[in-house]
Amino acid sequence: MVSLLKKDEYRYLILRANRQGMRVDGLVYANDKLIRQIEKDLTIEQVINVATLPGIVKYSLAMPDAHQGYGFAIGGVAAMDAEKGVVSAGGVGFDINCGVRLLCAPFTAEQIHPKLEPLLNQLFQDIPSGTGRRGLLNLAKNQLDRVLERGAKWAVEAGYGTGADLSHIEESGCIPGADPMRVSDHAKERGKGQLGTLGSGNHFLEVQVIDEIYDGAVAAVFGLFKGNITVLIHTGSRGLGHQVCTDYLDVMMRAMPQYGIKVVDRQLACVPINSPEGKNYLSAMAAAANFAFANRQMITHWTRQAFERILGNGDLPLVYDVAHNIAKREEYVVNGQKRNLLVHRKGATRAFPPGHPALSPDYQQVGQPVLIPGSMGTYSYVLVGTELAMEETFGSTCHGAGRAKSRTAAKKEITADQLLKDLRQKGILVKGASKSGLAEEGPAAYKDVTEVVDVVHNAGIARKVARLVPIAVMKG
Amino acid sequence: MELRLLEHPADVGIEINASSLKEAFEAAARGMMSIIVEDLPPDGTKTPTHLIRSIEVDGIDGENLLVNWLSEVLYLYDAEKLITVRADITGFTATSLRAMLHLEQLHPAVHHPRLDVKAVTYHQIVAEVGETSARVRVFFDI
Repeated sequence: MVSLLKKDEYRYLILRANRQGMRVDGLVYANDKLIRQIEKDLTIEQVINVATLPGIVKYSLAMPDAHQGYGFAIGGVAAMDAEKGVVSAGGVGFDINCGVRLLCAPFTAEQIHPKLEPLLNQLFQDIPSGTGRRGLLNLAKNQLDRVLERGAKWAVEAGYGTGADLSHIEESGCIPGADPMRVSDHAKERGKGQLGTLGSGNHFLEVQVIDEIYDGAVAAVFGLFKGNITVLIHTGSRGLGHQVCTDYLDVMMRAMPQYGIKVVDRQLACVPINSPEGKNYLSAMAAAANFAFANRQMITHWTRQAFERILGNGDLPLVYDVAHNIAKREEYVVNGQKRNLLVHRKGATRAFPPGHPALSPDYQQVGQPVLIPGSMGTYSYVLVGTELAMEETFGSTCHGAGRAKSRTAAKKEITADQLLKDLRQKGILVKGASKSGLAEEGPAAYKDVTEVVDVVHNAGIARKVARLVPIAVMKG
Repeated sequence: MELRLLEHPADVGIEINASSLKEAFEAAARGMMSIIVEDLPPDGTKTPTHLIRSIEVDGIDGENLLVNWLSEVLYLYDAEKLITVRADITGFTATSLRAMLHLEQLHPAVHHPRLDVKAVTYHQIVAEVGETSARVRVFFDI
């Protein structure tokens, strides 16, 4: 039995003494209610397992939206020493650079309301979504390689969006070190027809209204004003990223014995960061992440076109784009010493404070926008990064509501037809490719996103800026 | 052969009991496809789009082989939109297999794609042989 030590109202420690092999303590951010939910599945066990990985620094972390994943918990953060630590493909996950981006639209809720249904139909027509759907492009191999090298920069050069978009994307939409040669033919074959597709599962595009502002000064810098419209896009690297993770899990599993590494869960397969296998994975991961940045950039372009066609104005500036499945080389002060670390964020969002050199000049004074999508029909939040996140969580915070129920349990609770009816009564239009998929992603399947966000806000690892309420949802 | 769907907070798994590991691996391929499409054609269906392809897969042990096997079946669906209707494993060792896949081209109006399986995971994976039967368990990332 694992004992959790309540450190304060929002922090629970899992001391190393709980399990032989733990190199660091576990630290879970949660309130009394969320910790009970977190304890219901294997999340705590997975936080402990991650704490056994070679080179882990300070804590194995879990955010308040954490739930059981594969190897790492979803909502997990682990920083490894850049010289002595390991990289784990499972620590990034299958959907490499799954992430969210937020656009603000030059309309109020009242202005958009009469055209909302045609707008949703246009978005659904223009943006391929759902399982089995191919994209509108079929790239030649050398074109795909450019996408993998240049990410959102490729998309902008190809006419999808503007140069101004790039400064509002994590890493300017292009992670350096990407090498298409390290991406298998299988991954490229899966990806080449899927660029510019939303996908299915929990991926979505939502038209929203800003219904609450918590920090007016920061919100104004982000371009967010009460009553205005936003668009939130949630998708990732599609089959290309999934295959990169599959390929390198196999590579790492085969290579582990030569480095004397044993893991307690095979999904945690890992190799030294500076080994040939580790370097190759990070180059392939960067390429897959760039594919995801390009993917969201193209969907942004089509979103703008749909607004232009239906509402006569497609000028939707990009507020920000963040990854929530990624491993990044970052510098932190740990116990008074500067350390180069590889931060694995598996279902967690980067949350850098004001003045961080990685931020665009536009956000230097206020900090990084942190985008937290809620479940279908509930709120989403915009937060801002804090200095405390740099001290405690390697510049990371939560990434969403986090699932609370299985797909089968969610479907037992509500039918797709009833869910659509309920949402329509709340004034939310929904268009989804699969009815069955809709019911599995209903709000009852998720934790309360407001509770999750309140924990990270009150704990100080991000600060609330604005709340967004959906009015039209496009599900894959 | 008996196939059971398993719950996971975000995803789905399958567990199969069969008379041999080979039979369980064959059933796992169809089991995964039945998660992806709502209307998987019955085993042995032959339509004008029916194709047969042979594949070879290896692994460092049974569990690794199971993941690599199902990942190949998933690849054919995700990259080429080919649904594995039947899998005949013609050669099977502890670390390798050779199979003939009976494939059908995806037609969304006929097969009704339901969920994208992103990948095959090692979460609580089992590929074991008992005295008289075999069991596999595998979870898929949705």
